[in-house]
Amino acid sequence: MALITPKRERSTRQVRPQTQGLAYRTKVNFRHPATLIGILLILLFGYLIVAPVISLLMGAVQVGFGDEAKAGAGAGELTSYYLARVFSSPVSEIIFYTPLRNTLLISLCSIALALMSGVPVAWLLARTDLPARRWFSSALIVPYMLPAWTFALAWTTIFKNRSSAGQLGWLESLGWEPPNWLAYGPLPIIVIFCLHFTPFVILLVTNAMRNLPSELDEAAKMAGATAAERWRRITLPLLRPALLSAATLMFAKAVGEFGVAYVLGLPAGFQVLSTTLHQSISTQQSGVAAVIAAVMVVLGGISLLIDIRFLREAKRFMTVSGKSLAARVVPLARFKVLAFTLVAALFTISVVLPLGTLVLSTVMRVPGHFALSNFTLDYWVGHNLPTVGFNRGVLVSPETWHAAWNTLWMVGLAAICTGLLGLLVGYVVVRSPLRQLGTALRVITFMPYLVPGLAFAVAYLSLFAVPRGPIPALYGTATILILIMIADEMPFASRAGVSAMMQLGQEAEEAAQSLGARFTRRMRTVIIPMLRGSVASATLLPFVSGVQGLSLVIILATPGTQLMTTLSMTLIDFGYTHAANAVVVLICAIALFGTWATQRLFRSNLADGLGG
Amino acid sequence: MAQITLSALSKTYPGSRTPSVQGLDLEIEPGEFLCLLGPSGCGKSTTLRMIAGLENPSSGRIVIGDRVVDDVSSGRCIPAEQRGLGLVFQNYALWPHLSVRENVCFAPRVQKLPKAERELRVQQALDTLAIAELADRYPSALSGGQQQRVAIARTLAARPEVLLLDEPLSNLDARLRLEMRAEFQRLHRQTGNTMLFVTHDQFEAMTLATRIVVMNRGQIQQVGTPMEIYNAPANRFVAEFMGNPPINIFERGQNAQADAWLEHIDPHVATLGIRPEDLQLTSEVHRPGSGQLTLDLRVSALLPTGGSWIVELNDGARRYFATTQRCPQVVQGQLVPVLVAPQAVHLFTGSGVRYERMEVAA
Amino acid sequence: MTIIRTGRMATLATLAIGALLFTGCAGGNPASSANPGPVAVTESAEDYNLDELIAAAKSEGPITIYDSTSKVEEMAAAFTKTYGIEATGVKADAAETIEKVTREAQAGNVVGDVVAISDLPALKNQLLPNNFVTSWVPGDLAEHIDPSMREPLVMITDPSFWTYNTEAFQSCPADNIWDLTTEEFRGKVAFQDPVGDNGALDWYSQMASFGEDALREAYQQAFGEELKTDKDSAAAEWVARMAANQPILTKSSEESSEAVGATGQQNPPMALMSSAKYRNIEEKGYALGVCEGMVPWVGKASPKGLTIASGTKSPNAAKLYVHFALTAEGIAPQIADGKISANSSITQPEDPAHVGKHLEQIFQFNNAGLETDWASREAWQDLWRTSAK
Repeated sequence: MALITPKRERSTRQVRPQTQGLAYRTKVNFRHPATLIGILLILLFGYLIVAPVISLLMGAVQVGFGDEAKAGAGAGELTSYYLARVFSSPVSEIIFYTPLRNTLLISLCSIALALMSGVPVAWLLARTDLPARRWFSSALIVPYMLPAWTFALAWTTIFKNRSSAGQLGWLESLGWEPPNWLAYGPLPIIVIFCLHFTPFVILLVTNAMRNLPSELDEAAKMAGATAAERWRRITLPLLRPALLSAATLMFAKAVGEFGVAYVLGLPAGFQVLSTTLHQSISTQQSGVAAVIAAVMVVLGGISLLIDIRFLREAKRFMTVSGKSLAARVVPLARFKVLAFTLVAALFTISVVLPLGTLVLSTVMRVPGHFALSNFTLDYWVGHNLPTVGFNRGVLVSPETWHAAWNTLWMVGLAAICTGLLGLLVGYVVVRSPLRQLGTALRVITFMPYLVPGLAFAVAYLSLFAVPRGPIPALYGTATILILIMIADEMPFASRAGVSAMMQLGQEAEEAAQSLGARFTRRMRTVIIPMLRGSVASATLLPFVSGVQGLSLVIILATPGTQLMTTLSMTLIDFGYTHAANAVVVLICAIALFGTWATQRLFRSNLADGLGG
Repeated sequence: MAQITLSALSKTYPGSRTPSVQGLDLEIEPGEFLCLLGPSGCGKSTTLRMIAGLENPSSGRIVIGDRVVDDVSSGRCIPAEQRGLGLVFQNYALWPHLSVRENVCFAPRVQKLPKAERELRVQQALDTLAIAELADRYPSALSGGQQQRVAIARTLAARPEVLLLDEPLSNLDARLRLEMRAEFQRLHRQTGNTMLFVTHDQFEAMTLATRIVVMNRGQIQQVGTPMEIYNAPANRFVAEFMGNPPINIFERGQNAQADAWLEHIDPHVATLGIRPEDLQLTSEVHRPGSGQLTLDLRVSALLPTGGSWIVELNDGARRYFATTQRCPQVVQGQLVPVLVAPQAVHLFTGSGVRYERMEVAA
Repeated sequence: MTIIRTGRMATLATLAIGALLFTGCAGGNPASSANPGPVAVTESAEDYNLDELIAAAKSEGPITIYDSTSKVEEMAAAFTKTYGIEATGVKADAAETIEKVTREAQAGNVVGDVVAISDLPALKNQLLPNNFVTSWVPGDLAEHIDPSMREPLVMITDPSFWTYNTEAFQSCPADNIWDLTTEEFRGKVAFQDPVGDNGALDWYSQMASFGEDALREAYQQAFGEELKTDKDSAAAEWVARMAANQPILTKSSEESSEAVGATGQQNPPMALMSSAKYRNIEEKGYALGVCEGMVPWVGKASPKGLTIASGTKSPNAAKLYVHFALTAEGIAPQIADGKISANSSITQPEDPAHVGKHLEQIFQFNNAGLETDWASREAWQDLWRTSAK
């Protein structure tokens, strides 16, 4: 999966510069529905994506309000003050270089670990007779549906020690105080990222492996290659696009993810770029924040370039148009038990432990005190709890249901819009006679992928807090939340849309066209129904990320537009950990239910939503 | 009944150096069963798609009936959905999410016909193609031939005046092809539609079409009835493209006997071509009569094809083929005199154009 | 290939320029047109008539109030009940409020009519000079409001106290804030990470401006010698030593209260925490106690300003709300958990931290330092960062 792959390498130049017929060509090009849609989409995304990103980046070189004295220039004038502060001031090392190194360390280590654990598991799931592999292939995706910071919360609940004081950690209360390196800092962050990212690898690689004709491997076998050689020389190179895509994806996530590093890094003084970004934002140093965000964008861009570059090389041997009907199953024989144990262990560590910890923490009054008297369902269904700010159990509190309803309809609506917009982008890219439109759309819809959610949200806040032309002020409305969720998920949706449209081919639509159906009817009766599954997948993924996404909405949600994630954060602010964790459990439940329902109804799968 | 006129029609795809279709002029008469024939990439499908409105010409003009549907110079263009043509796709393009009935009913629905009329149309289309019993199945449950019939029925239900068929038989196995060929002919008789189909298979073209347009490299090579095309190919390309095994070509300077024969025919002729069935293997040596062409060729292989034989011959440098309905009385390695009737020899000039003899020397 | 590239670059460039124009036009630059107008308006008691104000307010439309606490909803409801004027309270933290007020003023579309904001330096240096908001002091109440709290008008101050765990200790383990910088308290003081907390940075600055002598005296008292420092102030020295003493950094004041107050701990840390957190004694069974007698101060106070959006369409209703928020009835929801009204005539209700008892020993915030606070935030942030070990 290349994140942006130039699919049609046709050059745009017309060989015969023909002025005659220009009117005709213009007419034909512009009457094509794809052109019109393309232009509308560019306007839409110009507004939803390009404008916020540009305004964000401009903050790095423009004097912000209140910084006039420091920068020695009026607000809005160009300045190098922020750049200097980030790159070459006495605190540069602390606010930038060390966090940058830490970010790279964390992301590279966790990517390597996730690949090392994900690829073998993907192989087991795709190619072997591993017991319960169908079940596992759904179950092992669950960590993706848990917000990453819940892993961090679970980790602290278990491993915290005296250096952050407060409530005892579980291990402490069992009599063993975990050392600092295990409780906080890089190690737990890497482990958690690895657990959270492994599902990506499993999703993408399993899909790729299923599409690899087993004849390729068998041919190597006939040529006398050993299993190891076949892996190294046949399978891995053929999987390279999938691996690279997974790696790029994880890299951008690792760079942008804020919650985990915040929870686990702070007690150890371990800073990454996203946490310094957060510090700058929360102390209103928007200039510095913009510089750091820009660096993060650049990092994402570099990873993308690497991806594209390698993919271009990989294309040479990706000429296989293999559609092997059923990949042969490799019998595990005597390794069956071992393999099963390992996969089950992964499931335990990445799903059972974190979720279990969360669930347990909502039914125990005092954490880690395993006595029957300490268990209670009050935090779920109790009334008149001593926690004044939230004095009812999560299940009986109207606030929860309000937030759950908000989450469902806002995220659901955003996800559906995202899926349909992705399809439209795909339509324009594949069908428009003006190829530049498609290219521009691909580039634009990809931008949010590179921008950390927090910074993106800040840009949204400043752009859409006030009316702009015909659009009223959006802050405090559900609209702004829905818009930013749409924008943020467009990278995957548009990729999924493009690949779905490519697979669809053009004849189905042309058949309808030749029978007299106009564009809207073709869309309604042919294209959308035929791409139902793809649209569902392209909807499911944004839904799952939207339900658990926090950094995007925390700044933009207001009491009226409280979502589950922001509710859980509010509860954490109050220190109502039990209720907060219970809300997180509900978030997982919603994500799981959504996935299950979509899969049942549309036979779609998450990997398609990644465009993989 | 509509007549279709293509004038100076050209199409160059963006980014391509060479035009796919170049300066095409063609009139398709009402009720005609016309075939666009040519090797792959010759522009025949592009031409069909331009008529359908699915591609837009780079220059030229298309008139259907009394409507100008494309005119690059005046900027006029009517989109595909308003042209009222029927198109059957190579891969049928049946919509998998709709049943056979729903597929067929698509066009009547688009045309907003009343329910009774819709049902009548669907039923007629299904009956015409004898697939009424498949109406409630989904495309995935149909065989290739059935899908083909559904695709045609779907197009017929729109009652188009012109039926365009893109390689309609290429995805079928040999038996079904035969069956469908007969079906198409019946359909043509029954509906009286103007039908235009595209194929690379000369056999299909020969058996189905009332007229054939041979295309190569985006240009028309020859237009004519099947027999005209076969018997009087307008140029070397048409001669070589039509016929299986292919026509035997003798360039000047390639075979002494052929050269000698050419000498007294015409100095302008550069090449001669002889159909395999016109090479007569004889058992005894004849004196070459005046005007008679005799070639001494060696038998390199004998290939029985069932009802007939293919004899592979060579003159030391090149291979030639002869076909015969009777078992050839030759053995491999034998040097055989081969007789050719002078009127069976096709002559071509240096530029490959057919050269008509004014008079064959008696 | 190159042609494709340039084509794509051109597309991108066009987009970029388009977006620039878009944001540029929309953004505008109000600072250049800003005139540092009247910063605070105090009406004298004579030309002020509450009844007239009420009458005028009632003829105006509904108002919206931005405040950093969810109590604002309660207050707005009470306001509506009292005067029959529709009021909506919206909770928004300082950063959000600043952003919103700025953008709303720029666009001339004011949503928040009354703006309560705890970031006084930003209020003073960003919102007031640009005339996005104005500070207005009701004439009839002015006499009860300390002059240092009128420019801009302070609504309440939020006291924080040095707090210890009353389960683990009989009395406060420290009696001087310099004690906290010693080896004994290494890793035993919890702070909300000051680098991300404007309140802490402003406190440092305020101590440097107004607490120099008290800090030096306290040092003398703690170590029996005069403070010698190469830093600019005793406060800077204290901050540097504190940062170096491996304090426990938390994400929120709430977390600090857990770190200090959770029961069953051996040798728990101390922390400076908001009086509001003392409700955790009741809610969560934490063992929290105020470090009485801490030298030089048992705690500090952080003010929250109360201003009116300059562009409001309902100036009288907004004024009336300001007046309302300075009455015992109006501010009741906020002072119930220990916040102190700027109106000194209001009796402090009893609260879990017994704020009333400690009022005198708190380091008071002084509005005179707002410019310095604003200007030196980065410097304090950097000092903390560079001193941390």
